[in-house]
Amino acid sequence: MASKEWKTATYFWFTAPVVGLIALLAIIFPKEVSSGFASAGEIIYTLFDWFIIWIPFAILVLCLYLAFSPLGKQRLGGVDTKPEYSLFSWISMLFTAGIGVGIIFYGPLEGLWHMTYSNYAKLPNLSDSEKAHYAMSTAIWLWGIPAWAFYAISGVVIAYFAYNKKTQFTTAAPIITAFSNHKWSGPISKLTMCLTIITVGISLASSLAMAAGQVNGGLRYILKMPQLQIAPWILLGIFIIYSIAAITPINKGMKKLSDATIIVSLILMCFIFLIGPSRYFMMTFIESIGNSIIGTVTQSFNLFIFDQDRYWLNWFAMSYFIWWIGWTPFMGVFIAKISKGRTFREMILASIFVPSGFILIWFSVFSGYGLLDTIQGTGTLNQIANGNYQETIYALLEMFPLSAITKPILAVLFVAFVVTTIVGGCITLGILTGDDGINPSKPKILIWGAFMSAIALPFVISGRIEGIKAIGSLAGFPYLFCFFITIAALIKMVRRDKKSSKG
Amino acid sequence: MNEIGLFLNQSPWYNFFETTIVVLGVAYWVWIIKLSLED
Repeated sequence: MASKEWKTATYFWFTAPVVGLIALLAIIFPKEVSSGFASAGEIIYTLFDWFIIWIPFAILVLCLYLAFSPLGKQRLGGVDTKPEYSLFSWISMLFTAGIGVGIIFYGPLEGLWHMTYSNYAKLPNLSDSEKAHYAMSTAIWLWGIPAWAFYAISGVVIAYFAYNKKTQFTTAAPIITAFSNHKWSGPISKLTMCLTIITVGISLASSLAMAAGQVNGGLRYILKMPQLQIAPWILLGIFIIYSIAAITPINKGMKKLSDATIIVSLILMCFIFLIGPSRYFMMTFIESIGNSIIGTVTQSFNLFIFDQDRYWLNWFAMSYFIWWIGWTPFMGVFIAKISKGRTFREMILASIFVPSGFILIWFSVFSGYGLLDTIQGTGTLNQIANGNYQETIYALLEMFPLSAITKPILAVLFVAFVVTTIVGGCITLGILTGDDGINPSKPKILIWGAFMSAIALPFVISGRIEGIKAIGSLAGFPYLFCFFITIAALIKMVRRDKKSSKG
Repeated sequence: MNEIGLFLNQSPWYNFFETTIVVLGVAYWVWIIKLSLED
């Protein structure tokens, strides 16, 4: 079996040229790369909509089956293994896994965008309140339970093979272990590993593009300079910060910075919740719980077949679901590493419902306020969300007291969030493509970091939201096909375990 | 639909292309189920 595996350094020579070529093209032809990604995204989403729309629901059903069947009692690491973290610490870590640059960026926008673009909101004779209801339900469906079912199953796959079959924490290990009887397992596991590295490398560029755009939008809004366009320079600044942080001892402080960003985000959310219309937020939250249960079933099978307008389906449902799959290697390893000693049942239920519960609260506050402003307020947030969308969250904060303090804090928060994420990503890639597979290689960390900023550049210049979504999701598309082989590997091995325990 | 999308839609090969993807997609799911059920 060992002869089938490559040394980690070999992966660098197969993945870096691919990502490097995209980065080079992005610098030389930014306009063409930006529109090329968007066009490619549109074609793939259109051709594969029937293939993708129901997948999150199917994964959720599989997760619930694994959790509630007798297999759910299976413990990661063996029957006598004790959990490494206390229940409170473990739940806290899963809770914070739901917080990232994405939800801060999209929090106030999702509800407003779904109200404008969603095929549900375009159904005839709907009142504004019904549109808002659909908008909120859609946001929760896309970001909530189905998304976290992807990460939960990825975590279970990686953790099961790492703890129970003593493999490495990689996406290739399940394939090579479960299907070693097939000749294709060697090449496919290597391909899976290459696609994992490429997916992580490229999709992190979308976080960079989001953060640079958001900081530029914040400065534009705070300084009242509508023509300000310094996003490429902000990107350069972020690149310098994370490059220094990743290769110097500063990276040891990243955990503290990450904890601080999470605490500040939570304080910000609590501030809006308590100062704002708290009863309305609670009503939105309660309604969203119901919507997330009903919507997950009804919306997962609706392709609007006779609707000519495919914009929303392509650029929201399709692009998000592929994007989430692209993040599964990153999130799966994180969930797996903290879950030793937990049962399948504990791991699946906690890693689906804890982070998605947090996202439910976050969206109830930020998207909920955007919808309230649209229906009963000034409508300003809706106008901004459909124009200079990067300024929406700053405009929202301006509607609350102390905005002179909260707006600059938010701009800094975006930088801090993206720096901690990218440093983590670069170190992971440095390990996956390093010399020994354990210690990150510093030159390779810098190379991956430079590639990410270069790929983000055209999308930062154009500011097109479709471009940002396209880099995130297109990177994950080829990996999608390997992802399901890893799930098949898990099903095969747990069935075999069940048989052998009976026999 | 963008320019490339329009081109694909108008091309006589589009139907063949779309059908090929559907056949390969269904074959892929059958293969995944078969892998999951093997001993």
